[in-house]
Amino acid sequence: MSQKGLSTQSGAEGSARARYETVIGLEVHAQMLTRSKIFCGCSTRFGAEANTQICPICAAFPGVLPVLNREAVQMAIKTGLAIDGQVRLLSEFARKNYFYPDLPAGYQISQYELPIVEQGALWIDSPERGEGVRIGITRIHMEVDAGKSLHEGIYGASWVDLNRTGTPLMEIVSEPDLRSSGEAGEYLKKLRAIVRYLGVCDGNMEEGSFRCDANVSVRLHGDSVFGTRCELKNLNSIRNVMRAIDYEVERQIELLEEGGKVVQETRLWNADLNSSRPMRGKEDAHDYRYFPEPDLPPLRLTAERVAALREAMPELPDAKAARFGQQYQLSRYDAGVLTSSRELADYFEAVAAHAASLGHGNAKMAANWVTGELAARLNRDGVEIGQSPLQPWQLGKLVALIQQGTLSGKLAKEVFEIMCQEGGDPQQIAEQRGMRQVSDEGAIDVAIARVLASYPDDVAQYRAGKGKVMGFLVGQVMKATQGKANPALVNQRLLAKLAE
Amino acid sequence: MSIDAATVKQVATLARLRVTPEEVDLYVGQLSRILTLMEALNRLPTDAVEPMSHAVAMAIAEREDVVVHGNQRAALLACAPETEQGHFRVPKMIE
Amino acid sequence: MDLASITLKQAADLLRQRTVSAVELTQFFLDRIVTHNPELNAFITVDAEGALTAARQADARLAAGQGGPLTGIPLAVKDLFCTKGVRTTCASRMLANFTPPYESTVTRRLQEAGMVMLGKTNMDEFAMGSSNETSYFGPVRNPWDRSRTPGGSSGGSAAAVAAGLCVAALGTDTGGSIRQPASMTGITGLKPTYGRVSRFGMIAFASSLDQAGPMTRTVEDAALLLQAMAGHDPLDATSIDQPVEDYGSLLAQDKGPQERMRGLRIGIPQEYYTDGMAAAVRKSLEEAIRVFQDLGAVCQPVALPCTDYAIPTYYIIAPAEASSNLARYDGIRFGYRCEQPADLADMFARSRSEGFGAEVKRRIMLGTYVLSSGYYDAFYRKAQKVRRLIADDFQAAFTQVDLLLTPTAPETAFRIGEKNADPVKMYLSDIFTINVNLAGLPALSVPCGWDAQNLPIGLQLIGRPLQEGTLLSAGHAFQQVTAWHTRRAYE
Ligand SMILES: [Mg+2]
Ligand SMILES: [Zn+2]
Repeated sequence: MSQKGLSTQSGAEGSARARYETVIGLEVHAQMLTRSKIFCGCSTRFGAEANTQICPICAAFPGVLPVLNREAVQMAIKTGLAIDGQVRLLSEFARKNYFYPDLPAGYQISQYELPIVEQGALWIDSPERGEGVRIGITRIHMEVDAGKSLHEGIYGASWVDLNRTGTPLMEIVSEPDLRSSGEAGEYLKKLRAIVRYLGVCDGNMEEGSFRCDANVSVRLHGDSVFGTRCELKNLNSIRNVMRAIDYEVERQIELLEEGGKVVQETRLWNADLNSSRPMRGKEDAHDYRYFPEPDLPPLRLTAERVAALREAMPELPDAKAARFGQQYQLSRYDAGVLTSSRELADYFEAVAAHAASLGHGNAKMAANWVTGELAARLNRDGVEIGQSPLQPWQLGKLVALIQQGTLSGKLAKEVFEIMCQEGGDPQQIAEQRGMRQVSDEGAIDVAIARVLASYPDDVAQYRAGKGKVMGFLVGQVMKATQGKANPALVNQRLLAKLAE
Repeated sequence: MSIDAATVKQVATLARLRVTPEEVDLYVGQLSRILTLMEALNRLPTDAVEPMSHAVAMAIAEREDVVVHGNQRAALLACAPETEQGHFRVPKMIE
Repeated sequence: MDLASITLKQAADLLRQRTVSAVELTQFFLDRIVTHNPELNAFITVDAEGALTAARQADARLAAGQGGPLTGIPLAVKDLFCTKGVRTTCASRMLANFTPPYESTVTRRLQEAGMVMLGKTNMDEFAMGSSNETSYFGPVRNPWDRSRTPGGSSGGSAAAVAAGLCVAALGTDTGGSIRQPASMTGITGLKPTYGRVSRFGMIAFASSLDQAGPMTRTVEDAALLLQAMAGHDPLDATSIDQPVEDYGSLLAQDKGPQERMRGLRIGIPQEYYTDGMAAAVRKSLEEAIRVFQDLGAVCQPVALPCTDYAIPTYYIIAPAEASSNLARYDGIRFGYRCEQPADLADMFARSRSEGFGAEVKRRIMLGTYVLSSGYYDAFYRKAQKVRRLIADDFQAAFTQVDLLLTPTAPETAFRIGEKNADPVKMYLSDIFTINVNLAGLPALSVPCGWDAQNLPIGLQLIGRPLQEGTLLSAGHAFQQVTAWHTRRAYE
């Protein structure tokens, strides 16, 4: 069905799609960045040799008992506070019972009836519904991660690696408040930014430390009940989440339009085939037989402990974006981009601060350089802001040089290139290579006179009313000055000369 | 209270136990008898009673986030019925 | 002195005086095990080499004037405490070849105190049973009558103490598994308050009920052993973080039995005196009550109205927890795996069906059922609510009295095979002990008589949470004025 896709169908069927509303809820499993596992003292380091980070406790040997990692609790509370959730002072662990080779105890220790956080929300800018749409978060609970099974290239067997077993997870469950794949993408970006700001999860979807399952259903606009939903799994990037949702929405609408019914099932997304298929049915229907974990007494938090964490909360993306808008006069869009990660926001502020310290506090220009030239460069090299080839002071000084008229935009781009390649102080680079912008009227007038003499036809055309020629003439003057002339001054002097 | 053969089989599947037809019959009888014994609890009104999951009322004690184990792979894998190249080996899993 | 009937306290004195060496004492019991174990089947594993090594180390410490009351004492350990390097089977085919690479907290503490572990004792498989007949390694025989069971599940430990195959032993008690076999073999057994002793490394049956405790010849010995076992353990989140009373000194105090008992209020729960109680048991109990009264205790009737609900409550909660605790036995990381599994599902189902015995499977089935969707509220949640009512009963009783006195078991040791056909009949033999586990309370069983078949009868004292000292003091006073605990099942 991906081949015939609804987009290529007739108008009648296209409008059929418009009659449906999409309803999405997301379940995110975020690995918490603790040093040790949630119930034992094994390391959580990623990428170790198989089964070298296991012990009798996480491997569920006979007679062992879990002991809760304090840091995991702290991280869950912080996340709860960051999404304006209610942190429960009494929560409880429960066992979720099912058999699987990479679940050594035969049960997952999770939270069920009394999760640590309830009733949170975050706000997204929806591509369809506009700015500031509230997406409810039902709950956040703590649980253990399972191990990994390996199949490929192993003859007649599978292998079990339990290194990941016992890594602390937060399961963050949204309300079915999302109405499009675009909103799902925005929600995930926002949530990922928050957990990264808090330093509680690295947000790496490819490595699986930030995993997302999507519950998708459709219904006719105006219906009060939800349609039958399908759960989508194996979504290892935000792009894949969005593609899988789009595919699923089309699949369900097509099914319904053909008079069929959506069957509640779990479907595995295949990014290579750009399609999903039902997961092979388990031997029996799920019956997790949850019950309170007898090995762990209830978790009781004091209001003081929660308050102390609230006190110590860092500035979060929304608050930072709002401040950037006010403090730096940035657009909502620019502020949003710059606050998408704490590192980027810090970088930008350092650039702006350095430029300001040199007496040129045009933060808008700093923002443009960070989101424009620098972002493009990082993107090209596939690196994050942390690996930026430029230190904030270098970019800050460059911005100051532009503002004070020492460098033209064109020259600045050249200096930027050189700094990226070789490092160095932008001012010295400009001086050493004679890249100083020419703002001397006399020198510019000489160049203008030469250009006007060389292109008499164009001058005549201009004077006959063809204003477009102006651009060509400016270009020629710039060329004649090897791009060093101050463009504003060139414009001004040229107009004056032509008016003579 | 009685429990039928289908339920016994379903429970056995959930518990990952294989039951012979004779065992199914045996369990139908024995479990029904035990469940009948348990029906006595219905005589007690408990609507206002808080369930008790722990014998002693206490709160969880948390441990510090410290790595305390080194590599214990050899000792743990030595307990396993089948291992291969540092892994626990199991019959081929589908999916 | 007859070393076979030596108490822990006596042995410690002899060792300290160097009248006997730890190696001699150890060898003495090893020899007795060789002679008597084939008939009694009390031990699953005997670790002669390890025991003699530990004994030599103990002798070195004793010779240097070091060591405490447990240094060099030969003990037997129920085969569900994980012992590093020593096979730990839980009396199951599932773990018949399992040698843990880690040590339980209780056995580690006892080792640090200088214990000599003679071996691992037989038990009901995964501690599920009241007669020791569910063991994969065969039933244990009662030293008082070898056609009878020693009770269970700590039947091997009880038989070993009663038959003089060790000085004392470790047991565990989920619904009476220390007290009932102690009663049926004429020894002393203590189940501490839930959380007083660490459960780390103790193979779980029902996590919210399991508790380890001493099985000894005297209350004094129980005090010494408990002293070394008890205390907070950071590896067990349910262990109680409160200081341990000095039980040894408490009993060593130069106090007469009257002084210990005067004014103590003892409650006699009326609900326990039912038709289920054998006449001889009732008679012994009445005599015991008189003994306590003569010592100055005030005995008064109390009500525990929810007593009848204890068995159904227990047989929902314990199997539910067990069904989950035993899910880890899947044939992957340790334990039994079936031959040539066709696929993964076959491996799970066949390893478990072949590895577990009938009683264990029955309880897994029951526990799975009561937790499954649609039945959870009717069974599991209901049982948890009734559990609170049972605990509330005790709490109310303890506002009027300091201790409760009951029989430990409704009857004396029954014949091997007698109750096998009907699980419910077997479950009823725990009727006086399981409510104590549900409420998490400490309880002590001491011998208080013998019936016409020369089978021992035990009484149970139940205390307030963490009042092990009160229990031990009362039990000791009883043993100061009676001689039941000095009876031996052998010459
Ligand atoms: Mg989950
Ligand atoms: Zn571990």
